[in-house]
This record gives sequence, structure tokens and C-alpha cells, in this order.
Amino acid sequence: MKVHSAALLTMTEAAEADMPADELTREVLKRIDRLDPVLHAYVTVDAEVATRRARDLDNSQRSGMLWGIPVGFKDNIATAGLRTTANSRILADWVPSADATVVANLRAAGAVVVGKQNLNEFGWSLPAADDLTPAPRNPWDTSSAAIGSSSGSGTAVAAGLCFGALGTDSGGSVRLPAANCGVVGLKPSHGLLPLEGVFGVPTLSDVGPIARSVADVRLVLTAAAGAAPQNRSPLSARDGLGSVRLGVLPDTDLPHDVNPEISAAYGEAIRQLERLGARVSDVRGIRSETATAAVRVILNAEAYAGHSSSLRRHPELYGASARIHLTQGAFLSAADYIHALRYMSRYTAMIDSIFESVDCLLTPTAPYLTAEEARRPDTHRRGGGDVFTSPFNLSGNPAVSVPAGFSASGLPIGVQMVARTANDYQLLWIAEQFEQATPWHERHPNIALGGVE
Amino acid sequence: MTDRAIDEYVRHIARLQSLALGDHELEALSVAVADLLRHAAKLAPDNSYPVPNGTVNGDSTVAPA
Repeated sequence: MKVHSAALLTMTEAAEADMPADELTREVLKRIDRLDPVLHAYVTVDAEVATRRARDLDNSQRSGMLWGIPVGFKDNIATAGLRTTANSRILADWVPSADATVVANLRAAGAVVVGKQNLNEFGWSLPAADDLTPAPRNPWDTSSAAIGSSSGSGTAVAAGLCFGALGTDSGGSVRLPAANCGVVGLKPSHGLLPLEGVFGVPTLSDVGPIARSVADVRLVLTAAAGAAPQNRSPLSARDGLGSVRLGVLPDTDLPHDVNPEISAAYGEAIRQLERLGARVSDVRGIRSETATAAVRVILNAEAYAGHSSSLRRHPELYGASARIHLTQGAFLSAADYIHALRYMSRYTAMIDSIFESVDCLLTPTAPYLTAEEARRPDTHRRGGGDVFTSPFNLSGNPAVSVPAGFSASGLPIGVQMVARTANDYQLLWIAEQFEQATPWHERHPNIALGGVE
Repeated sequence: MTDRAIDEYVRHIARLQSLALGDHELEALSVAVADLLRHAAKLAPDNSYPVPNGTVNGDSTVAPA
């Protein structure tokens, strides 16, 4: 597809075109002005500072892997001098004095920060009428909300309101919005990217890049890490995917309520990877109700620990949904939490053992096409929406969602690839082979192309 | 626990933890907590006797001397 706006280029294409930072930034800001009143991807836009920064970059020597690239951050990641709200009234006026480490690293790589992106309040609530900023819409169908919690980042990247973003993922919150918005989202190996200055739960959360191509995700990952991590060696590129052992879920391990169009796209992704040479075998036991249970217990216990004091002092400053979500952990016992941590150790060992016989696991990313399906009360309470993603927050493995098709109604579908812990670059190499052999990443939503969607 | 027992548990703990929650919030929280405790119950070991460190969860070979 012909790209009609510089803001829809990939970072690599923009760098190859040698485009001035000021031109890229002005184009992105113009699009935010035009589209964000509908999409609600941003909580705060920093147009003045971004414009000044871009001009300063144009007057300096080109250096840094993200030189002049407009990026955004989920608004639970601290930015010095730019308010950081977590989409909560309790932080409505908080302007951090220091950057989160990942923000400082992206600035050092030459990125231009255009603003802070919308999210479910503190990443653990459902959008509601009393949110500080209304919930982001899916750019492929604005009558539908975007799946969260890094929904603003997924929406902004897909609509060309930034080139790349950093979100956070504690159960799927980078991968699910990426799948739902037709872009690429990576949850790196646990701890690969520093969490200083980021709101999240320490045992499960990771900062993760969202971008329009796997190559761009790799760039943002490397820049956010501050230096290229040590796990860069790919499988033998000479053999294509012929050296890759791919583990897939047998039909019997797919939940009964997975959307049939997602099951079909998953089956086609398996066949595509086979055509590329991957050796496919069934792997059982990955999807586990017990793993989902352990994630729920750890997430709620640690979320409450982070908010207990302010929930007592200023409950009225939290939205109604966040108040319920963040309070649940108060009703767990210490033994519940310890049992969950012990299960996490056993589950991680089980996943490690699977990676002795496969190099990559393939699953659907999301079981549902829309946020509305994922947020049905019964589905949400049993953790139905993150059934494929949250197990890898428990085990700490790197996991990436890549575009894998579209529904008949035109909504994007993603598949998730997972690798051994610390093999993030190997994982991205496999994902890139799939991406380049399929057409899905070349499509843009009509609203991003200037049409009526 | 029954729904009523959960409801009482939630109100009791909320009071002890000084959490200011309205009646409608306590009702919503009771539903959420019931689900959460069902999740937690899946993780609880099912040993008849205490187990020493390093023993596999659910190992029934461990018994009092």
C-alpha cells in the first residue's frame, strides 16, 4: 500500500529518507490535532517542547538510533517536566522531576517525545465515565474501544500519531492493544528494560515497545535498554526458518469461546510458518487456569500494596472501576500470595522445559476481536481476555504480538510468538520472517489515511 | 465461602483496613473478591500434613513421625 503521510512511514523508512526531525514532528502533531479528538490516544500532548526539541536536533549532528523520531509513552511512565497522570485524578497535576530510565534512554537515542498516551487508570481498571481522559477508540472502527491497558499507545501507533511507543505489560497490556490495533507489540524478558520511574507490579510488569514493524520494535527495545543487550545472536539466518522448532497449541487446548475468525487466522499463521520451513509440533499445558489464577493473585496483591495508603486517604480521587480493581488485593491472605509465587516458580520451570524441545511457541494473542467482548463482566472476572498472554508474565518469557490477518468486519487479528527467556532478539528475528512473508503490516486504518472509516 | 459469608468478610476487612467504601461499592467488591478467592483456592496446597521446604507441593509422602 502506498503511504500517504510521512507519519505512516516506519522508523527505518524515515531514517533512510533522511527526513528532518522538524518535518516528522510537525506532521505527527498536525495529525494529533486532527484525529485525537476522536481517538483519545493522548492524555497530554507536549507540542511546544516537541517542536523545539526537533528544531534543536535538526541544528545538531545526526546521531542516535532514534534521531528525530516522534515517540509517545504510556502515561504511567514518568517524564521529567511533563505531567504523568496514569489517567487518574490522584495524579492529575503530577509533574515528575526526573525521567523514568527508559524515557531518559530514548531521549539519549535522539527521540522526540510528543506526549503521554492514554490507558486504563493505573493499568488495572476498566474504562468508565468518570475517567480523567475518555477511553481510546480503535482506529480500525471508532465505534469500538481499543483493548487496553496500553490502548492509547496501540491507537497512536496505528493511526500515525507517533512512530513508536513504550507501554507496560502485566498480563498482556502491550500485546493485546497491539493485536487489536494491527501493529507489533513486545513484552520483553522480565527485567530486560528498567522499571525505575514506571507504575506497575514488580513481579509481573515489563515496559514494552509498540511500533508498526518488527524492525522498529527492535530499534525501540535496543534504545530503551540503553545499550544493546547481550542476547542478540539470531538462529541461523542462512537456513531461513528451517532451523526453527515451532510449538503450537492443539485445537483441544484452545478455549471454547475463542472467536472463530481468530482460530482461523491462527491456523493460517501456523501453515505460513510451516511454508517458511519451521518444524511444527503440538505443545500441551501452556494455557493453564492455574497460571491465570496465579497472575490474578499476584497482580491484585501487589497492586493493593502500591495503592493501599492513598486508597485510604483519597479514595474519592480514584475512578470507581480503579477503586474496586486496586482494592481487591486487601482481601487476599499472605499465604494466598506465597502460594501464587510458589506456583510461579513451578510454572516457569515447566515453560523452561518446553523450550528444550522448541525454539518458539505460537498462540493467538487475544481470544476476542473487540474490547467490548473482552470486558463482558464474566469474561473479565475470570481473566478470559488475557488467557494467552498473562501466562508469560508469570514465566517471564519474551512474547511478541504480530499482525496475522483481519476479521470480515475489518478488525485486526494478532498472533503471539514466545521464546526462551533472554532470547528477545532471536524471537524478533523469527517474528520478522513471518511479518515479511505476510501482507498484514502494510495495511493502515482508513482514518489514518484521511478517509472516512 | 457462601456469597453471604464473602459479603460479611469484605465488609469486615474493609472496616479493619479503614477503606471508605459505599454500599454499592462493597457489593461490587464482594463479587470481585469471590472470584479472586476462587482463583486463590486453585493455588492452595492440598497436603494432609505440614511439608518441609523443598518438598513438592501436594507431595503426600510427607507425614508426621
